[in-house]
Amino acid sequence: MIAESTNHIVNILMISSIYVLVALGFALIFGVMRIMNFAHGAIYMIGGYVCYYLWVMLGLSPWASLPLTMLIMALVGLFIEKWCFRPFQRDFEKAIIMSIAIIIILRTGADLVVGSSGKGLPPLLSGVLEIGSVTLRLDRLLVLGICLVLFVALTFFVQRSKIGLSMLAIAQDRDAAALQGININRISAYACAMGSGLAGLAGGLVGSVLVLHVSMADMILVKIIAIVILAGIGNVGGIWLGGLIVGGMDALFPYYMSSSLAESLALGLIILILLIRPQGFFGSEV
Amino acid sequence: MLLKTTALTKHFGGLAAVSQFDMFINKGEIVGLIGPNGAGKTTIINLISGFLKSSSGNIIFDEEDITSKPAHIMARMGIGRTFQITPMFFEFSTFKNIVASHYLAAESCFWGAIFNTSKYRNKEEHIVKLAEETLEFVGLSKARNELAKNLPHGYQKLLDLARALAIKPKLLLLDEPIGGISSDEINLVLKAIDKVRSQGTTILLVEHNMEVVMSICDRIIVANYGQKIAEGTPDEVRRDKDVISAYFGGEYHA
Amino acid sequence: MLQKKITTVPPDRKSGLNTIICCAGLIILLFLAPLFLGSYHIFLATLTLMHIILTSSLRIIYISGQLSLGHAAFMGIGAYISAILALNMGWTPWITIPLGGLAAMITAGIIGFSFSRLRTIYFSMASLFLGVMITKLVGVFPKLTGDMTGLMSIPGLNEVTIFSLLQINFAASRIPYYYYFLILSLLTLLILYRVEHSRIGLTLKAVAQSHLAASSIGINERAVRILALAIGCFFAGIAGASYAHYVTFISPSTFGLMPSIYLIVYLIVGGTGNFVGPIVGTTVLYLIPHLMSELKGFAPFVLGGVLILSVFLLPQGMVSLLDRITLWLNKIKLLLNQLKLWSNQAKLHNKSKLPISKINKKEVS
Repeated sequence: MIAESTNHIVNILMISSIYVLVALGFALIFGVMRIMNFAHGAIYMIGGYVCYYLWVMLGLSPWASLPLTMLIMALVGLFIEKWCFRPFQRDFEKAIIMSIAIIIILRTGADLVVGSSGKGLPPLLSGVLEIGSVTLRLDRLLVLGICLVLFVALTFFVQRSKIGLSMLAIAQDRDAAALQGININRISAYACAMGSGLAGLAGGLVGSVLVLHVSMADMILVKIIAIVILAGIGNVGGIWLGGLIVGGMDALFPYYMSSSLAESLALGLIILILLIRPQGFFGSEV
Repeated sequence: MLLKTTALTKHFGGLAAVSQFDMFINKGEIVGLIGPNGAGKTTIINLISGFLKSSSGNIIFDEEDITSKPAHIMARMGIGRTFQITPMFFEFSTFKNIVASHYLAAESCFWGAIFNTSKYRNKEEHIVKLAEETLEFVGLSKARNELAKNLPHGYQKLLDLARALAIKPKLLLLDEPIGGISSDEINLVLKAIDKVRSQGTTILLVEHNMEVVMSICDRIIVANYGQKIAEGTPDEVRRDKDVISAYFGGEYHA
Repeated sequence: MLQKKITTVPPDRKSGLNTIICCAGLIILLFLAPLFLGSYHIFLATLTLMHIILTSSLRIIYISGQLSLGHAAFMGIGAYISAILALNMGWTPWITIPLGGLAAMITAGIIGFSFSRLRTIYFSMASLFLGVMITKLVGVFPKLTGDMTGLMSIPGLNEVTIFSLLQINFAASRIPYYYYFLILSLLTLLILYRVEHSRIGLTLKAVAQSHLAASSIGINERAVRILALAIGCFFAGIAGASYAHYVTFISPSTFGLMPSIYLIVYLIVGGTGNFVGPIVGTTVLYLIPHLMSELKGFAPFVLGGVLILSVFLLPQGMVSLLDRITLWLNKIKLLLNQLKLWSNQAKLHNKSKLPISKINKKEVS
């Protein structure tokens, strides 16, 4: 019983933290560039496959593949920001179309190159940790650990570094930030690169503990939009709460009911929260 | 009495924007509501017109208790208002704005609209005539085809007024109708307000321009920190000690 | 005092007539299409017509200021309700299709009651979750709905006898379905056109532009938004129900997130400001990738490419292309008139040996 619940908890935490990683990137991009980046899901998916390629096909060590994946997807993010989003900073409709175009192209490309079968990445660490009667898989703990380290790093970065503070400034008041001399294009590039890097890394981590599939791209979109909404648009700190709720529901509900009912219930709850408190837990009235 | 508020109060969190406000307006009067910035004047207008819900107190309009009624019901009951920020249908032309504003005259013709029945068409023609009259009345005929978002600020105020007049209001609430516009445009707006007044519409005017308020209004209510601190004719109010200290500082009264 | 140019153009009577002639011609062409199109193309045309209904009905919701990211799900409600009723109760699709539309409309009304409180972006997000949730609900009653694998053997439309003279058998070929969808889409477009260009449409657009101004003139903006949602979803439901009985097989993936997103794309790229926008957008973005069947798997690439191109080149949507073409045609017309004038002057000059200036005075009439 304890063993089962502990595993449940680890699962919840791990899934939540992966979602949060992707959601953070999405929130970063939305906060700084005010764009609902649908392509973010595709970045997450492609990150997973890039990692697969580096790790399994090229045979690189996972400790090299993961950071390399992050770097590659960050570069993709830079590219997208410069060519796809920067021309449409003020035009929200066009920017959405661009992000949809990107996800369509990337998803179709992945479909063609990879096919519709799932792929798996080997676990980061084999073996288990045994505490009393509880058996915890080490790789899941490690993934959880990596995510936590990244959260802390990101929080410090956003709240202490000059670039991070610029991002917060732009998110609060774009024009005021520009008047203060903040280079919006440059900071947007950083935000998009960081967001994409995090998403790509999350894809690689998911590949190692779960499975890689082309449909990851659209499935994660619903989750991260839910997380960002629950946290409150513009609020980065509350994303951990949103992530716990969504990840928790995803990890827990399927144990007790059919997966369709689980998903419907989860979405229904999110809609309910949205109706009662549209600005999310920590958002301010828009 | 057309309008009467009793102990009207509105809290925002811990702050009382309006507190125990008693006021009344008689039919045909022009009442001015003045006070320093932050006195709660716009809040009062929002409460009366249904855009805000009061925390406590009553509002009685035309012998009916309208305390918690929403904005669109208030409009139907005959309370019209202008706004400080002049919201309008920006993508419509001036004339289309006014035609759209005659919504109440057009109502209850849903299926008629879809099937383009003669009853519907007659109503719409009638509305176009009404809109022409309103356009003429406020003096916006020149700007008829201009897109609302391109109008100079003063003309936007006139459009705001036209929109409020379209519902044939029994009570017209004007929230700083000449705020932030040039002196030429001020004359235009004042001319229109004068016309409204000569038609006998009851008006509540919130305005910072003392000259205007003192010259048009029959009676003036003065607010400060959400409370009524004085009331009376322009002369009485001009000489009231509380009013003077509210505007120019001085000794505070408990 | 008024220094800005007049930026609205009074309608041009002549261009109105031209439009009507073009439309009539197009409609006649569409009615004659089965004569010279093969069966695959008829199939494509039929589905394109259905998508036009979907995108246009999405637009009426958009006009009221709500961007619905779950429109395909309402299509799904219509499809499933109609299919389930026809399969389990044995009712004829001619009855179940309107019932499907009604079901979608009622669902939209109920949901709208809650969602209409949400502003813009929150509404879009809620509609996105709703759309995905509805497709997942299929799995909750798997026996009834065929679960994720889908519902099969949905009966087609029954025979119909018009005025005891003409008997239309829907089982014989697919062509009667084409005419069914053609008439359905024309009716839908007619109704949507009337709604948009009547006082109702004016009120919808008013609510979208300023909820303060709208409330202050007596408009119950929540009711108006619910109305727009109900109307749009009604037609989506009818389209979905008709689709179910046409292709006789439905599965949840047809009504999920990506299809809803595609509809938004057709709408925005086609042009949201114009009634014809969704028609143009759907035709180009849905039909053309399907036409290029050699591309098969590459079709979404073409779509993505077209999207990117149009975003950069056609800021007001594809409809603006039509406007530009009309503008060019007008310019050419003016040029031709001018040439005619000059050639007339030249002729007169030759005949009468009068200086050109004197001829102009005579020509003025």
